[in-house]
Amino acid sequence: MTNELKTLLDQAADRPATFTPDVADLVAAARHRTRVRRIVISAATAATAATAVIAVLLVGHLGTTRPAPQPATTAQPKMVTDLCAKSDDFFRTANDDAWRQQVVSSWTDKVVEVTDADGAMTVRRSPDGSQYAYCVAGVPMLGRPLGGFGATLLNVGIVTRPYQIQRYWSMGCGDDPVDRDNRTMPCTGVRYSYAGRVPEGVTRIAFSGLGQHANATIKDGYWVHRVYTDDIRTGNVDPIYITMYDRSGKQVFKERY
Amino acid sequence: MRPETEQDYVEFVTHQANALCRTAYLLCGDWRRAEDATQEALIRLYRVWGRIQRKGAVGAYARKVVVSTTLDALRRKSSQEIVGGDDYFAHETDPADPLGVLENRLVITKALAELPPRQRACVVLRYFDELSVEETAAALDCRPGTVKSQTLRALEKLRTHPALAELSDLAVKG
Repeated sequence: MTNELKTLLDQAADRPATFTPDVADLVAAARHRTRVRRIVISAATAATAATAVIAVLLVGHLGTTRPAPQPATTAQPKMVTDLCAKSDDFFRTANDDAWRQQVVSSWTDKVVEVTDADGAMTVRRSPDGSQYAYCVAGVPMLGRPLGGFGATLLNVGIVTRPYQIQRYWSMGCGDDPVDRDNRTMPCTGVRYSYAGRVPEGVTRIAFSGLGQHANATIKDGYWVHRVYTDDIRTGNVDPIYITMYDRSGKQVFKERY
Repeated sequence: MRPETEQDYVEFVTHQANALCRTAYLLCGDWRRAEDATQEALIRLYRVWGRIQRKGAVGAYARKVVVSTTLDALRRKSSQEIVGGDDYFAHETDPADPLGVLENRLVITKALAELPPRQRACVVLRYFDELSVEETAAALDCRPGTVKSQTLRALEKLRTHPALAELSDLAVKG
């Protein structure tokens, strides 16, 4: 064995803190995933069986009756402009138009929301109160609603870390008055929308960057905030930092996002 | 899962999570990613725990899942996912570290970062986890011959790395 290499690798992987995940959370997440997997498999099996039965019935039906010609109609799905996602199921929900449509139309319980001239960032609660979705919506421009056009889950994949944060970005014009119905040039600004669950013990969440300093809006264990830039390229000059403080004013988290 | 079987799983997680996380860190160069990959691997392990435990290959399987989860996450980096602030193999200075240790740490993590993921995995599994060629092949789901050739190439690259060139045994062993 290459002893020096082993020593170097050992040193590189040393750190004062030992990684000890919350086993109860892990087991709960694993049980949940196992349940979901079973349900999906059962549903797929049932769907396959149902399809087979319907196919058999249809074949029999087509053999005996000749259907009258129907006018061609194509159901147009309603465009979903609000971008919603759950932090614990980000990639599936963010890419599921039907789910987002359902959230926008029926999850009317708003836990916390922040609005500005360009739109809103909202944490919505499901009708049964068990689930939460982070949604960004845009104010229409030239009659076209501006939803979010990008989203990301920061610290993706985290099971137990309390600082999981969701970020969206969407077109924006800024806070200056703009005639959105007669605007000839599209706005070139960007609104960054952030949301997350308030970690235990945290009482203040501060944002700094892009020349702005403000606290996030906190309510019922969730927080939201929006930051605007006229030019996305200036983001690298004054990066956005999120800092969290506990009740005594001690900083417990700081990260560049 | 039966309570006693689940208790075995809990004990395994309690005792092995940190070791698996260190392996994951050497593969991706980012502690947060490593923690995520380890947790993801442990969750996947839960589903097959009973079967794997009966086979008596829990450790090997867990390491295999950690490696694949970590390498998968590296491949997904080009998606819309962004991890704030930290790039892979971004090195944070630790004021508590003695200077020499810190320097060595930077050297090896930089050198590892320059290796392709599979070669990096071969080096980490062979020389950090001290697995045999066969065990490494099982963890990477490839043939032993592939492990040998990948390891050889990796060591050749490490040998030419300016900061590692002085390692005597690295220069003569493959």
